[in-house]
Amino acid sequence: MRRLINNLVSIPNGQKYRYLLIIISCLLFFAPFTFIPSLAGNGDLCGKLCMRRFYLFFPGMDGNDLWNQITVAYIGVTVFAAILTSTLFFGRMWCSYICPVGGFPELVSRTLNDRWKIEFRALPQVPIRYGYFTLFVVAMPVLGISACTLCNFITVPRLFEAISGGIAGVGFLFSAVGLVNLLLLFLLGFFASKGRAYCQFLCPIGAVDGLVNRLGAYFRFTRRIRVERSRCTGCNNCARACMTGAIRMVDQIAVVDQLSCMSCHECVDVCDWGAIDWRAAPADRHPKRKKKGIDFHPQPVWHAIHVLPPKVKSCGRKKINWQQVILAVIFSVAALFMVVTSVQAVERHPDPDGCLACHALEGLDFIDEDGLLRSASIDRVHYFSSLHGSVPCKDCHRKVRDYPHKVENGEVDCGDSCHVEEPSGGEPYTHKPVIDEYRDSAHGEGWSKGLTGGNRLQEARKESNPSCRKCHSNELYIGKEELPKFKQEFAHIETDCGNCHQGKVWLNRFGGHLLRRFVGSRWNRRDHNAICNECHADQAFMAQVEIEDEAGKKQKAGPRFILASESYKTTLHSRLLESGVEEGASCIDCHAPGGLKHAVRRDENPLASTSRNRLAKTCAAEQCHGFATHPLNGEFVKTDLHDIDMARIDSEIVAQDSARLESNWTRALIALLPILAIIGAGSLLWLLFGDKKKRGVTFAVLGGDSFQEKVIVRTPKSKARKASHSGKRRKS
Amino acid sequence: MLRWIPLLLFALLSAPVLAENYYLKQVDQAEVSDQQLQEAAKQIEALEEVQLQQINLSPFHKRRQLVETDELPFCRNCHLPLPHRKNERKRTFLNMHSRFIACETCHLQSDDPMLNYRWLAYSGPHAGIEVMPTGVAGDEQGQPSFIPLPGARIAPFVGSESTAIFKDSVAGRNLTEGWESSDDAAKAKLKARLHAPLQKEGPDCDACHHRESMLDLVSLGADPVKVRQIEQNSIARFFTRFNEQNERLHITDLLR
Repeated sequence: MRRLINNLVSIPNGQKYRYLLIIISCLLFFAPFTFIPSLAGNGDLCGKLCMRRFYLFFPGMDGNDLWNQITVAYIGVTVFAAILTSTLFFGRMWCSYICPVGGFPELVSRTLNDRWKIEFRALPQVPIRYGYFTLFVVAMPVLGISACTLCNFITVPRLFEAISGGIAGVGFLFSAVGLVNLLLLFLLGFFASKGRAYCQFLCPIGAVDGLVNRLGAYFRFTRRIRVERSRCTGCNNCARACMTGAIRMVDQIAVVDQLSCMSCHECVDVCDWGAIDWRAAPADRHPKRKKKGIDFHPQPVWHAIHVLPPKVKSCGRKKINWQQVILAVIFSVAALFMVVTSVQAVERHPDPDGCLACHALEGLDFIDEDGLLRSASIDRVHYFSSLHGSVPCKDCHRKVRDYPHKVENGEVDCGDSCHVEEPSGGEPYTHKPVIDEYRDSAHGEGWSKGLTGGNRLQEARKESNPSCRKCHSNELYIGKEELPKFKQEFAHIETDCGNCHQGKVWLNRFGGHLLRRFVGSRWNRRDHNAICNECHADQAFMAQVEIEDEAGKKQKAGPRFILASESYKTTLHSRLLESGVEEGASCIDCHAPGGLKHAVRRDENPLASTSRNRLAKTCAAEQCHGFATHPLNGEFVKTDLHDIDMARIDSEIVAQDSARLESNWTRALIALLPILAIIGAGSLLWLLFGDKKKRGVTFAVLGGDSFQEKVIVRTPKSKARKASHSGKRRKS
Repeated sequence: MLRWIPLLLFALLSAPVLAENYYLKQVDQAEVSDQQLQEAAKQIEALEEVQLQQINLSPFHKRRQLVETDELPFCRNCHLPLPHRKNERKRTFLNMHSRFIACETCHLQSDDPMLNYRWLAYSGPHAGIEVMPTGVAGDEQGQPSFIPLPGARIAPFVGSESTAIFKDSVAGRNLTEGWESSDDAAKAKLKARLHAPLQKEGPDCDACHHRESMLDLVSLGADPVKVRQIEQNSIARFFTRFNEQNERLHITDLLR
């Protein structure tokens, strides 16, 4: 106990504070409190806090990809930038004073005896560190080795979590990867001399930080561990105390390697001669303390970078510095690799989860339990040229968490957001606003989630409201029907774009997207109508639809609803469109003119564009009936554009609902029908039995007399007969 | 007693054919146990014709065209064009294989050393004729290729004779007529006999997708690249490793 106390007391004051800071840091960053990560909504140092992954190089990546990697870990990137900035001015204070991942093994190591440890400090750490760093950045991603598998920023927090009783921590430590990492933590940390071997060799943050530290050492104003060579006695206390092996004795003078130095002050605290210090170099490079050309009380010269004379062989030739050669080769190969893979445009497709390894196979067909013929094959070319071509499969099929996945796990929620960035706002793209509008519409009970290939049958048989997929499918950016137009208007053939625009990469990712807009939207008014008519023109289907009345009770749709498509077809709105004139009005133009074109509501709904109070405004929309809002046009807007009296009378519908016949037109029909019947019957009888020769010229039964009297001025026979009868009576 | 007469007639009529075809010979020699008979009878009794559903709600993704396997194989008399339905994990892969692997290749007992596997034309004017890697046997003009003729399938042969039966062959017609003129009990017996040389479960993936493949891929026309693709197929390896029905690879495991 006394020995322990003595040991603690003998720790230099500066180091006591440093150790205390590391302990506080462990408490702040690790379980059970995870205070700082939880401020960012994280339970560990991964995800958006990760500082070790955003600079990974994947062949073929471009600026957008790098930006994506940065945005994913934006907090980590910000902290990383702050660390590098502080390092530039003050040296690697993060690594030595704060980093709990490096500090924890160091503290543990310092509590253990120095005998049974591994001494890594004598190894050529710069080539090893930057060699590994290059592999980490360039080679491991290509080889598919996850950056997370050799990460102390996972291992140490998980160890704390496990000690705190966290299941995830225990689970990780007992995985193969976890055990290997734990082993490395022991060998490169707890049992490494000074406990910082991981920082020396494997930490990518430390590698970049070391470069900045070395760069900053060129400046006089930056604080670094500097040596006053004339004061150094060559006692090597500093080299022995240095936890990173950054100090070597060269010609009995301490030489600091700024690529490895962490500015921990261990060396400063053990130097009795003040020959090594953490400080800036004096601003005055040439002090005027000379008398007759000789310095007196010379100013100290603090060296951060030691320029040593090249080593020379006995024969007088320079010794080759193999460390530098190896390092140069590694960097050159890596740089060449990055340049070559960046120049060579590789066709990229968003299939990060490898779904197409199976689903791109042709002929993955089956007949399911319901007798529905289904296919699990995805046409790779079609998919990547389609509207969702840049969306990875799992962005929509989110429940897929294992392979081969359960069929039901393929379900899709169209309201989910995906990893495609919405260009105007920079937010993840989502159809949620459309879904919200749709939910609030007359079709709002339709399916927008839980969509699978298998439940299409259920939907088709039982659902009257359209789901998202009922109207929308994953179509090509430029549809087949638009392609001739595209070729004609742009004088292109399919391959022409690729000649200038980096082949299929450009074509697939951007070309279709832009060209679709050049060619014009695929959805014209006729297309809108075609979509609506998919259901509304099917009168048998419409007759099955149940609609909520004002009391909230569901009732079978009436004839006006059933015949909506047919009655619309008789209007000028429809006939213009059908004849190819764009000035007609589609279903959407009247029923969902604004917003996202999904807010189709019943006329009775006050929010509906076709409701009594809004209809005039809808009709007065741009390029339509601008006059509709004029007070004198109050009746114009009441023109019935779904006049079922214009539609064919369907006996089935009449049988279901006699209200179909309740109109003045049908009343008139009822009145006129008997007249027609009488006339028709009379005509037939006349044809069969009438004696034309006997009767001579005949006149119409109805109005014939009037014609004779007023037009040909002749007394009709009937009147003549009447007159003769009355004459006879008078004579008699 | 009367119900056995059609079957006996069928047996007599088809005797010359039975003697030639390996599979039919197996059928002829098959000894059907009571259990097999009962099972066949039960299946016939429980048989419900699958009604293919037609709906107007098309898939969201434009898939490749559904490939309708041709109707020539005798098995298609009873089995659907996409016969594998029950094994949820593998049914699509198995159906995919049925486009270029004959039913008998997997389902005929494969431990018989007499069997060897070659390409057999299943459609067009050459249906029923062996196909060499360079073209139809006897008219070999093209460059060697794997799947040398559209619609050709790898089928088991004994010597130079294929074991496959086609609907419109003499044996196929006789069997069909025999089936149609039989009552349920006779059908059960015929069914049991027809299936006796077959095994319900085909071989595992690594029977073919392995260095020691049961198929001689080189003689089937596969070049070294194709051989490697088949032997080292990652999906087959996956299913070999995760063989049990509920065994799955969890994505989270990949992050460990």
